Amino acid sequence: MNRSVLVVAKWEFFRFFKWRDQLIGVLTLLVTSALAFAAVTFAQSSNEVNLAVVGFNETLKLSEKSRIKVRSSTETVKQLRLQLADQSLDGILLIGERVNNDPELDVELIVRRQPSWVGEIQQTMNELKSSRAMAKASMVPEVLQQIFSPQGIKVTTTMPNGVSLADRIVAIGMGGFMMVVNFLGLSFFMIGVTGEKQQRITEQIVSAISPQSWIDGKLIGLTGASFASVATMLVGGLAIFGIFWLAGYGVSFPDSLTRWDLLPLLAILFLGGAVFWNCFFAAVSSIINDPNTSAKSGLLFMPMLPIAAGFLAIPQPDGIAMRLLSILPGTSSTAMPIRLLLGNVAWWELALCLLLLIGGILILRLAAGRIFAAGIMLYGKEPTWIEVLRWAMKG
Amino acid sequence: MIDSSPLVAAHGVGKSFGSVRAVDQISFEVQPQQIFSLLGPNGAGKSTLVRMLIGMLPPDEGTFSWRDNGRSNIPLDRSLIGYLPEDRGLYKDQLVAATLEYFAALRGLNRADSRRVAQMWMERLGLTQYAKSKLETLSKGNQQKVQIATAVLHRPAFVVLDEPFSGLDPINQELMVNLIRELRSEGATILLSAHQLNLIERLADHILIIAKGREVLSGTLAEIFRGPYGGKTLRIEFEQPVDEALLAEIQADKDIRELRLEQPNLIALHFTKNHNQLEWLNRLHEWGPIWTFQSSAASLHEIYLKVANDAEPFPAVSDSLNGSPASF
Repeated sequence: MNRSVLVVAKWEFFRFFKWRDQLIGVLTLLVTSALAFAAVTFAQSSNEVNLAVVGFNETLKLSEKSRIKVRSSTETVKQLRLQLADQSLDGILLIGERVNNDPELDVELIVRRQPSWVGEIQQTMNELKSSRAMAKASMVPEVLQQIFSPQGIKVTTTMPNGVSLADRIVAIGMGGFMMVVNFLGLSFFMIGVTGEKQQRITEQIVSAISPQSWIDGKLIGLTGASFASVATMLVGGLAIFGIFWLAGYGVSFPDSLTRWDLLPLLAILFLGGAVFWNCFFAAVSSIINDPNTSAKSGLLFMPMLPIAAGFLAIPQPDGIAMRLLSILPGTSSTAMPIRLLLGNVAWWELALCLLLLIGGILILRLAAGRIFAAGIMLYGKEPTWIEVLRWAMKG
Repeated sequence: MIDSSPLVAAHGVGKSFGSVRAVDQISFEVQPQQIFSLLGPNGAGKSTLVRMLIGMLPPDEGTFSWRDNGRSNIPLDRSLIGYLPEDRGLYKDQLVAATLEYFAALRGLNRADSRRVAQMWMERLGLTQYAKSKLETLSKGNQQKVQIATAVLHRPAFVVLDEPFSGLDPINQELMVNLIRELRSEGATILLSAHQLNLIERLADHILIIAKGREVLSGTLAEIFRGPYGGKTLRIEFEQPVDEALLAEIQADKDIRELRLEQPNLIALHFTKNHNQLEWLNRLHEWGPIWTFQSSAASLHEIYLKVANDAEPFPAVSDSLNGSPASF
């Protein structure tokens, strides 16, 4: 690798990845999350509901964390309505027994306006009615619980790490990760190649270094910038995760995220996929003069199709379609990580996937360099597809 | 023994884009430390020729041969070249100092040297106060200065300047003229393409004019001024409008290369050789009283217009304008 490639890579990386901006982004995310969390906690703790129960001597069983504070009242409804009016009371619950020891009660809730906590009262009254009905039928609660409890099914997986819902979420997350990396790569190359072409920067640079060195530097720098940006987002996400963990919300890492043996392989697949598609972006963005009017702009969204296909294949990770997608260079960066997590990958499939990915990158890099060299010098007129193909084949 | 072989020579180079012949069989030589000016109308093929010369486009036919440190026919070395393209721009959201350092690094300078030359060029061009400013905040003239600095900060042996004066006010044009002279005095060879012919006349040692991709005139300034398109112009303003008979009589004289009717009572006679202008003044005074007259050598601007018109006649619309070449 010649020195000019590294010079370009460093320049392009820091053009798009600004430490200060990234840090501000993460801090903003953290502060916003912390404020939202604090606001919700404060709202829940300060919003105590005072409810007066009239005509019922038993204690209503509300959950321990309920913000509804119940007191039995002997005051008249008229007096309680006055308290409701001056907001020292939030609701009056009138409960009346029916004849013949009917488990159904006559219940009326008097409030100033429709409350958000009515569901909790509904649930409490449902439970009260059930227990009264059971008592009337001389039934113990354990029997009723047995009647309504579902039949348990023990699921035994043959793979070392079973596929849990958490694993599926992680698989979707990885697909999302590649989508974000690809979108960032796409936007960076549109600015970094088409934008430079529009700003007429290209000729002077190509007089100093070869187009292949320039595109190689851009590939390294812009791929690095897109990964670094996504990594910063992940750090922010982990920090939010940490806030919830510290607050005792009982969140925990999915097992698949702690499979350290897979991490190097996933990193290679992600990086390879990003470089592969960035080669494609470099070639296409160099033949576009104006993304707003060019018919070729639609082509830049092509890398999103295999990612979408990967998502669809999650239910059948070892199906024919998914096996094919996990081997082809354009889609393997999304499909193979999903299969590694959710499916059963043969060693030869993995070897073929890596071989094709590396080969694909080398071929696409060369073709992209040739298209880039010709495309960046072409102003005003966009080349035809035949011309682009000829450049890619012969330079 | 002084080596007088050219720094670069073009041998019958040509280039076509589809059915368009952009450059056709052009040959020239650029001597070391020469200011070689490439002129021609828009679309004449100058930029294509320059791009082929510096290796950005391969010629369809012909070759370029380079010389460096006494070695001849060496392949093109990018580090020898400093290029200011006609289609140019910079990273508008980047800082001036960072931009200069980047271009220096691209030219192979290490970090310390990149900083040193960036600082030196900012001082030289009066840009030090803008070192930490984004390029988009600079005036067009100052952006142009940064642009030229990026082209020459590695002290190239061969500097190609395509329209270096465009967008500059007269003061900055003068600064650019001085800079070009300084670069030459520091040892650089310069290929200059511009439309400001008054400035070219002050700078160029050798001129090559091309039109429709072909060479139409080439030589040193002295050769061009003395050549068929040079000569002198005598402008005579009569007290009365000139009639057709007089114009026909003048046009019939073989020593008059061109006759222009610039006003109904003002004619310009262009002589190709050292002609006795007093004879013509007496002769014309006999036809009618002369109000004023003026004799001047043809400027490069006038020569260029004649050459360009011969190669590619001006559009018909110009015939209706005063001062355009009359067709007799």
